[in-house]
Amino acid sequence: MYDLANGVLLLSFILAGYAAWAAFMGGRWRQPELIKSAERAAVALFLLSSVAIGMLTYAFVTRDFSLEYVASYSSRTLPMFYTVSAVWAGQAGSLLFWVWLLLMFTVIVVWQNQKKNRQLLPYALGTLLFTAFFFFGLMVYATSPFKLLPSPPADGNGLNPMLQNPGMVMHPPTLYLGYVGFAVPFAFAIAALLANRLDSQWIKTTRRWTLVAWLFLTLGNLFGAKWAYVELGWGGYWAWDPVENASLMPWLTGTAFLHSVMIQEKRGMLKIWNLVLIMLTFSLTIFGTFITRSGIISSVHSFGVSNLGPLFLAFLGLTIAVSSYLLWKRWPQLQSEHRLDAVLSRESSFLFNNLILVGMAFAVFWGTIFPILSEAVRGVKITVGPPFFNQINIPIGLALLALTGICPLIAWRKASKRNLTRNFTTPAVAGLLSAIALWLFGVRSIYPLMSFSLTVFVFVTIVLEFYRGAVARARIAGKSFLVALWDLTMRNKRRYGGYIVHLGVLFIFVGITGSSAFVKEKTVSLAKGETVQIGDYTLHYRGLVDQSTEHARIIAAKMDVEKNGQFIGTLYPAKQQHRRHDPVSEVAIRQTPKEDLYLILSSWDEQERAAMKVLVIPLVAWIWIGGVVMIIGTLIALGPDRFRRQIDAAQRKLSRRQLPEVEHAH
Amino acid sequence: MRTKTLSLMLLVLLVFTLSLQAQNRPTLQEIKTSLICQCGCAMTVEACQGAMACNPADQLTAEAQQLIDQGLDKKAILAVFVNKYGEQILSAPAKKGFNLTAWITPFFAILISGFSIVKIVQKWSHRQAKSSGGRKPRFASDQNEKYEKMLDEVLRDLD
Repeated sequence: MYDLANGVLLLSFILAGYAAWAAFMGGRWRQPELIKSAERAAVALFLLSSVAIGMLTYAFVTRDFSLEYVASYSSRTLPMFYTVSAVWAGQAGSLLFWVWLLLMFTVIVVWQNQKKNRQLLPYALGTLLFTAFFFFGLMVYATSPFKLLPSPPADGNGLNPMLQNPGMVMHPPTLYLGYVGFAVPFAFAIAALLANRLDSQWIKTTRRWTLVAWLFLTLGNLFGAKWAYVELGWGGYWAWDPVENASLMPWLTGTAFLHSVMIQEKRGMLKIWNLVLIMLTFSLTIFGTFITRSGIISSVHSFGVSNLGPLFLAFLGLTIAVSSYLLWKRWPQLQSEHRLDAVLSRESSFLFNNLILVGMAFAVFWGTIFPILSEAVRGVKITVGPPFFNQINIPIGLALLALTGICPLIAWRKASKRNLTRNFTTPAVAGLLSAIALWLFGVRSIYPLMSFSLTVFVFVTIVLEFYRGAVARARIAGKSFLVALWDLTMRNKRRYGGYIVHLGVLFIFVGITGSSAFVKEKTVSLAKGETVQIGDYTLHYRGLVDQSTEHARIIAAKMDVEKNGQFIGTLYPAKQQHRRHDPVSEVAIRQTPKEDLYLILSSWDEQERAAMKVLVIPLVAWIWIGGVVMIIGTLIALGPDRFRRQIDAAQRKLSRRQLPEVEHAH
Repeated sequence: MRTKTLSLMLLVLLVFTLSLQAQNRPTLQEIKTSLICQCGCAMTVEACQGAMACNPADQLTAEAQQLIDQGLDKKAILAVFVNKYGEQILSAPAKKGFNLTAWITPFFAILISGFSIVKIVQKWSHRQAKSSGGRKPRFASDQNEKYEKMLDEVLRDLD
């Protein structure tokens, strides 16, 4: 049966090569038959990859340990939920999953563009199919998920216990959806360059794709952070691990791209920059995949050392080389239709926002590759860990937070004194007052002080934007404030959805600041019956409890928790020992919007004396709340434009008006 | 009298120095956060020890505690670890020599790029002002408020 599966992969590899060629040549020679053939091949490839992933899933579900991949990542006692998720837990399976998602997106692209973008589609299709060709090549020649073992074991190794968590089940698929999603705008950017269609059409076509990819990448990062928080057991959610960094970098450049495309759509500017950004974002997704799979940088998340590194590096090099060549070739046609009018303008503020986002991506990239650089230059191995990334990124992050408030308030083209005074006075005063209040309440550290007061500043700007818009709308349409507020958001989902995303970002900043700057921590060794006090909490240790299951030995410490003298519940921090794996912590968390009580059981002795780490982590829940708000905002921004016709009418009105100054500028 | 004053000053200085030393006395957590565990997990000793049962992390913790008990300050303790395990034991590169480039390059890049953006935009707006024959730039002042408001409204709709 698995010979058939390997045959499917080989056939897919050959077909993807043909389809990519047919799409590119069909576009170049303007041969509709070739393009149609490539489109059909894309559908066939999706079906073939579905068969392959279906067979792999079947092998997991039936516990077929004759497959090396199944034996490596599952066992007879592994729950079915995690058995299915083990399909993407390892190197080869995740590559198959990657290409399956890519082909699913490719088929959607083909379906969406049956009657439009016919000039761009062949090249976009060619780019997507060439990427699929590369991934199939990896599975055919380097690492197949259908490799058979000479003598199948009676049972498999089982899944790493750390991966047996709902967050980790969701983390890779959402991350891959984000990575793969960015392939679509990248493919259309390449198509725009190849077809010499350098207007904003490729951006308009891929706006939703970009948002969807960004949404999934956001989700992927949040799921990863949540998993680290509840599973890794050190009280943190982001360790600046190279693999974590690899998913953050394309998110940062993708965010910059989401903002800067607005300038191209509205004013025909930043064409080159937008192309560079999407090329950079796609390249960083490949770079991330390279880091995870090459084993070049040690990471708790990586798939270990493999032979895939040079292949990914070659693909990355090819991507950068082709993108750069096309950009250079089309450079003269990519000049802006307008120039920036003033430093104090919405356009410039977007540029600065881009600078900070890309600057942060660069800082993360720099820190990630610096160990390799140091070894190459000095021959000395060094580590670049959390203290470095925190020190570098906190000031950059604060600048970004400030710009989140400043950008939407500055007028387009050139801000007038009136515009600045009207929009900034209230938020700035609110920010300043909050800083004074925090100082009076004893917050003395500069970064938390800045972070919280900037959060208030941005929060007030967002609230004012909604309030002013709703009041104006209520006045014009004669509706109540709440109806006007709903109407306003629904009329311009992109703008107000964006503000809601910003609101989510603020909550995340609150969570990060609170959980980094005000943590209370105690490491204790408790005998049965002893008590530990931390913050408002009193914890009574009642002894060890055996919670073992059929596939793991689990020992938990029973901790009765009181807050301000009131009993509020019992927590069970535990240690799990899975067969063939090292023991791992299973933390116990009591979460409230104000703070988390976080317990880690480190060790115990025969007299049931337990070594434990107890943390009170303030405001951390706001990170997850902020994530949900960001997702809601993105979904609103993604929503169908019921008022598109009115917007189009406004566009026509703008072109009819042709203000004298504008004419002069032309 | 003079000697008494001098002695008093020396005493104050001693107390001050001792209190400073006491302040400089690092916590175990501080040291554990500054060290990378050598078990291959790529986490700090602090994080690794919480996450899993790890012998290297326990060993490094014991060594750190011993050095703290000896009265060494953070710098000296980290130097001991570097001598024993090499630079890769540090969770962040030391701010000296070639490693300094790790710390300054990101800020340098952002500042240079930011400065370039300001200069380019200024040049463009200056060129536009020149090409408009010295007329006031578009929407530059409140005199053009009407047009500015109109345009803002339309652009707002298009957001």
